[in-house]
Parts: sequence; structure tokens; C-alpha cells
Amino acid sequence: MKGYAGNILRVDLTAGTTEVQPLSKEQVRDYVGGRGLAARILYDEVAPGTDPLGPDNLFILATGPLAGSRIAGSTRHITACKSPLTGGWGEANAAGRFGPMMKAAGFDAIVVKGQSEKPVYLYVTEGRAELRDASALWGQFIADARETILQQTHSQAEVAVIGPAGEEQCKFACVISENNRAAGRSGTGAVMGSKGLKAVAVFGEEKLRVHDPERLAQLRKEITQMCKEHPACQGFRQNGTAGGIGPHNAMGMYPAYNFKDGVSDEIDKVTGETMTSTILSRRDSCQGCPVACRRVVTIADGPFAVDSRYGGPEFETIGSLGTCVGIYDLKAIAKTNELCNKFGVDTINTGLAIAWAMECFERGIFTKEDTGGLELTWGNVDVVLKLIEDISFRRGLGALLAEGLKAASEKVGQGSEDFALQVKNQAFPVHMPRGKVGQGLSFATSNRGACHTQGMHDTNLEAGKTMPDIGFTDKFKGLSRTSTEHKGEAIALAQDLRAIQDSLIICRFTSWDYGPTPPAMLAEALTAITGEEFTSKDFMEIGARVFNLCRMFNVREGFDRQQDSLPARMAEKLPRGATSDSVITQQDLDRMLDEYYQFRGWSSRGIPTPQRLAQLGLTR
Amino acid sequence: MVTVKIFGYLTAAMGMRDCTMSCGTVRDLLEELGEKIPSEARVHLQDPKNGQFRGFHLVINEKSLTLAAALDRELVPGDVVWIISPVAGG
Ligand code: SF4
Repeated sequence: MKGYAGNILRVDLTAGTTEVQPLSKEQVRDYVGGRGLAARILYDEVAPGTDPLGPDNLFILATGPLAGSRIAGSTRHITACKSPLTGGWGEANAAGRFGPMMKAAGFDAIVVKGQSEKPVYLYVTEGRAELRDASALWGQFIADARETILQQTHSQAEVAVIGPAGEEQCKFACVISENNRAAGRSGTGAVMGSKGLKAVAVFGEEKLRVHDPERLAQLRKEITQMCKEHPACQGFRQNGTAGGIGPHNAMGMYPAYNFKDGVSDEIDKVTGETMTSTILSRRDSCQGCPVACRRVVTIADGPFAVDSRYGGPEFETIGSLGTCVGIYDLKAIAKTNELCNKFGVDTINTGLAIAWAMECFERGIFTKEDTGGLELTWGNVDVVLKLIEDISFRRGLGALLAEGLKAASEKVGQGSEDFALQVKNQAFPVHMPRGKVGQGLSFATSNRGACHTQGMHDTNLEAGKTMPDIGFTDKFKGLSRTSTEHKGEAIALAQDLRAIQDSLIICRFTSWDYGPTPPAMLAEALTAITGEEFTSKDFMEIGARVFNLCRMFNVREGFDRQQDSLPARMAEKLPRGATSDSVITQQDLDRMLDEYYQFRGWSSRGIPTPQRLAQLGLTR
Repeated sequence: MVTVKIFGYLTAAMGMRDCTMSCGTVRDLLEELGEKIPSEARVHLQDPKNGQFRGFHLVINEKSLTLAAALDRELVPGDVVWIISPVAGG
């Protein structure tokens, strides 16, 4: 099979065995790779009710047919499992070099089951795999563990590793490669920790087998050029994802103080532009990508000196561990970023958990007795740094916060559920649903809980972006970001697009609608790689299949319309700024959900109908 | 006069952060702004093929407006117009 390594590595940690299984034609044709492949395996093999942190859950690493093609943005990999955070479909993906390296080592996916008695790591190279003792690595921070494993394996290997947060099974622990490429959401790192799996190291030199190398080379060149010329990509290069902070704040929708505000007076202290002119030391890129959106910062001394190996803060981290907790000091935020990467914990869930705890403290729900003496006041940097550690190691108040916001707020009660910014126990990314109403619907309906990467930013519709061949026709063009009109349909289409993008896998920033590469061009690239004909229409069909399969995974676990919800704060007006006129009431959400379910061919309870499942080939 | 402020990557693309402009409609203002900036930067404001304005966001006196809703609006002295680069996520 061109475009694929052709094999899945099966690992049983209880038995201490590994086995090579050929990738089937059906898996490839219907699910492509990445998210699609992982979803099919997880649905088939993880029974409903399985303990996410028990031996019967699977931990999956997967990449897609574009990995190794050197198309801009094609280097991502996915981690998947039943999420210990949400209890449903769990997924997180990351950029970097792990994906292509895993394929070059001989595998499209690695599927791990069981639990090891003592800590181990997996080394995969030249189509073979070996479990190695990791007792000495257990407890080590991300970069230290990675360095040791590189010494023990191959200097050019890549390693997906967990830190203390994964070992302690913090529910939102992540899996990190290259020290700062975090597969951050859903707690996939906790599942590795529960299995006693410290890391997976991969090294290989197998080249991607391509059906039409000339056509692929041509497409690669065109895509690179498009990325170089695209204004958003140029913006990502210049100021990173944090370049979007100033514009979001100007539109009254860069969340601050646990989403109580959408405007920060001190925003200029923490924008991407400020980072560029102060602590930025390097722009980092993924193989073959001209965008170089990643940041590396240097702070050599002082209280916030950072280890540059852990990269620099992004849009999400500056919001979650900056403005949402009242910190307006880029050096302090860079330190929070370093700690999260060092301990292996998701910055978004961590920041929003601390923001919620601060609001509890402000309202008198928490006293110093509850916080172990910590003064949880807004902007208290020392407390934030301490809590990142306590969450990662599950100590004191940190142990409660490490359970996720839904769980913590239900335990604490006293109305704190209303300002726990979460869906399905996954914390809100720092996008303001009141300012991007369709994004609110994305948060509510995403299979992994509140997620900003699997739906659509209403601003892209407002800015007039269309793509008629995949359904984004003129009727969406210029729709206000705060309007509910047509958002049900737009979000369903966008989720299907993201599902195929995460199956290929291609980076959001290089592909439409964030970046330039249209789905039709990626379909052509997939055709050139595999020799099988693909069109953008096929892509949307596969995307719908993958999205519905993940939904069915959740339905089997008891999820329905009730879990497609938003916290009460979304119906409260913001105090100022260009989003202060907009709210999402339960009626607004219901209206969007009705349109969304209908467009998807689901029942009014949010369950895919048998007819729809049959159309998608999902009857088994 | 009307105060204009620019946000996001348009700042660098257009080579300015803010300026003051005469009144008129929003359309007049954008066209006048197109004259003010270097000719090679105009492409960020208007599509040279059809003259249509690009998809940026507008905030006038701290109220968000879609471009279509704003173009014919008459500006009055003291109005503050923010032109914001298209943004998505991080
Ligand atoms: S846009 Fe950024 S994250 Fe995406 S592939 Fe390029 S450098 Fe990597």
C-alpha cells in the first residue's frame, strides 16, 4: 500500500509482548489514518464501561498517509484512548517529527493494551519493537527522560514521553515529544501512566513509498509557496499564534479572569508582538513547513528563568495561564508554560482549573483552609506556579483540580458549576463563545469536550471565507460572528473537515480555512501518494464517517444531548467591549443544536439514526 | 475627524498602527485609507481583481459590525474605527 508503512504494532504490556499486524485495505479506504484509524480500533476493541485507567483501555499512537511526504503541515501524529477526563472519546494530536519518524520506523499505528508491573518504555525501529525497563526514568521530567532515552536508543530518534503528571494519572496529563510538542487534551498521558508506559521512542530511515512522486513534488512546491504568501501564515511566522491576542482582545473576546471579561487593559504586555520584541529567541518549525509558528523563548535569570528546551507560550497558554488567572507578565507566563511542559500537563485544563479555584476563593467558596493556606488571588504568580506543581503531583487542592473542572465543581457545589468553564469535563480553550457563537456549538458538540480545533471559528465565516465544493457556499459568507444563523450546519461541516484533516494528518495552520491549502488539493496529494482516486467530496464523506464513529463511541458510554451543553456563564453579558451585546442562552444553544442534529441526520436526542449510520457504512 | 486603529497582521502589512481620517461613510474611509498606504499593501484591503474589500473585522465605537452592515454607515467626528485582521485560533 503506497503511502503507508503497512503495519500496526500491537503491544500487550501485561504479557510483555509485541506483535506486528498488517494494516487492512478497509481501514485505509474507509478511515484513511490518524484519527479515523484510531477511532475504528478504539470503537471495536474498547467495550463500553471500560475503566479508562485500567488494563483494558487502549493507548493508540497513529499517523496518516501524508506523514513523510514533506508537504507543509504533514508531520502530525495523534494519541487516542478512552479519555479518563471525559469518559468518552479521548484524543490529542501534536506537531513535530514523531509522526514521520514512527512511519519511517515501520508503523502507521502503535496500539498498546494491558498494564506493566514495572515502568517500561517502548523502542521501535526497523519494523521491530522492544520493551525496555524504565524504572530509572520514572519520576523524571520530560526533557531529562527524553535525553536519556535518546542516549539509550539513537541520537536521531524521537520520543513521545510522559512526565510526573502522567505517572500520577492527573486526568489531563499530556504526551510530549521534542520537549514542547504537546498532545495536550483529554488526558492521554494519564492512560500511558496507568499502563506504566513512560515513553515510546521511534527511529527509522524507511522512505515514504509514493505512487506519483513527480505530481507530489509539484503539489508540495505549490503548497509551500501558498503558505509563504498567505497572510495568516505570515502572521503565524512573525508573532506566532499569540499574534491573534491583540485582535481578539479588540473584539472583546480574549477571555480574562475566568471568562468574566473579554477585554484586558494590560493586553499589550502579553501579545505576540511583545513576545517577538522581548523574550523570543527563535522561531521553530516542523519538517517541510515554511510557517515556523512555534516559539522558543530565553529568560536566562531572575525568578522566571526558563529552560529553553520547553519552548515558549502560545495563544492558548497566554490566555489560560495568563489573562484568565490575572497574570500580565510574559516572563511569568513563560515560566508557567515551562512547568506544564516539564511536568507533562495540559496548559488549558490547568489554567482554567486554577482560574475557577481563584473565582471560588474570591466568592468565599474556598477559604485558606481549603487551599492549604494559599492566597488564591488573581494575578498571584507564586500561587499559580505552586498549583501547577500540585496539580501535576496531585497534592492538596491540586488533587481536586487534577480531576477536571466538572468533577471538581460538582464536588464543591455552591453554584461553582455555573462558572466552571468546561464541557464533558474538558476545560474551555481561550475562545469566547459569546463572541464566536458557532464556536460555542463546537465546544458543546465536540466528541472530546470543549475543543477549539475541531469546529470552526465564526470569524472565518464573518471574514467571508467560502469553499463551495465542501459545502461552505455563499450562504455562510459574511455571517456575523455573534449570530446563530446557519451555525448548526456550518459547525457540522467544519467538524467533518477537521475529522479528515486529523486522519491525513495535516496541520490546521497550513490548510483551509486557517491557512491556504484547499481540501481538493490535499485530495490530489493523497491520490498522488496512494494511487487511489480521492476528491474533496470523498474527504467530507470520510470525515463524516469518522466524526459519527467517535460520536457512537460516546453514545455507547451514555452520552446524548444532555452532555452537549454549555456552562451558565455563557448566558451572562460581558461587562464591556465589542462582544458585550452577545450571550448564548439555553434557547440559543437549543436552536443551534436542533439545526445541527437535523443536518447530521441524528435524532433530537443527539443520537445518529440507523439510516445515517447505514449511509456511512457504520452499521457494525 | 475619525480615529482609525489597526490590529493584527494588517498593522505590519499596511505599515501603520493608527491615523486620523476625514468623515464620510465607512466605504469612503476604507477607500481613502487605501490611498494612504503603500500601493503594494492595498492588496490586503481590497481584492485588485474585483475591487471588493477583503474579509477583515470592524469595530466602531466598541461595537462589532460585519463589513456588509458597516459599509454605508455615515461616520461622525469623534468616531473610533478599529480595523482588525482576520483571526481564527491559536
Ligand atoms: S504551521 Fe506550525 S505547527 Fe503547523 S506544521 Fe507548520 S510549524 Fe508545525
